[in-house]
Amino acid sequence: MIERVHEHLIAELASNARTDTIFVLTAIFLNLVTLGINSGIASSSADSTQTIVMFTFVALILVVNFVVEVGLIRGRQMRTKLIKGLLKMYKDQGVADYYDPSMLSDYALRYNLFMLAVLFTGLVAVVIPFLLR
Amino acid sequence: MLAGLVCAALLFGSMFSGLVLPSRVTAQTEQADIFLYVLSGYYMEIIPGEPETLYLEIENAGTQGISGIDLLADLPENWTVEYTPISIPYLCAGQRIPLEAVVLAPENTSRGEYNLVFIAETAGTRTFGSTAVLVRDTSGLWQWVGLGLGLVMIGGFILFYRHFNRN
Repeated sequence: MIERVHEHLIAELASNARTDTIFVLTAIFLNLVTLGINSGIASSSADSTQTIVMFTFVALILVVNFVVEVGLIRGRQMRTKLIKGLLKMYKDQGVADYYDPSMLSDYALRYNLFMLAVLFTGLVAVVIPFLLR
Repeated sequence: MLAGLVCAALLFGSMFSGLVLPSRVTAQTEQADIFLYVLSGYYMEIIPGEPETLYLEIENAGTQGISGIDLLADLPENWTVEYTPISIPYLCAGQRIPLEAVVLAPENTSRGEYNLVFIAETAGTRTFGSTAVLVRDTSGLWQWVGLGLGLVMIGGFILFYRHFNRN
């Protein structure tokens, strides 16, 4: 049974990593695409329709970025729980020495950096077009 | 018949030489050719309500002096231009004179690209030089909107981070 639980935890970790990767890549891609679109709109003539389109894209950026940030925070918490479970299992089996617990803090740092990257590209995508306008 | 053939040959020959060989036409009479150059270049930025000086040059490339050149302009509505000098009393053959055109866009000019046409006119001769200028929004409203949205994003991120991290 413990082997099944172990497999389940590993599968959850893999799924978690995949989901978070998709979150980060999607957010950064969307931010850059929106930066291009909004910068193009901002550089052209300023009429009300284009302003509405710009603000719609800004709303899209805000929503997607907040969703991704929350997803990454939850993903980090989930990964911490899964690794803690694994560590406990390894401890019970007497093989805990093979798994360094400092990986938990490494993962936390990595997630924070991902969130910073998403936030910063989002900020650039929101602010730059308005500075060009 | 022979005369007709000769005429046709002469006409064909003159057309052919004009098309193929570079020909130089010597002026039989003195003529005046004025050119107006805009030296300030394209896409200068203009701030509504603030005068902007553009530099021009007028040239008489002809062989005869020109007197009484008036300086005019074809500008967007409510735009003004003041030339220095206001007009040119006499421009010798081959002479170039620098001009200054102080352009003023009205305060309510919307952002965009505008074409300005500067005209030099004298009896029987008219020339122009044109340029495009960009009018930018200088109120700073959009910049503040952008910065405000950026701050909202940072604030929202901090709130989300603290809230979801705690739970």
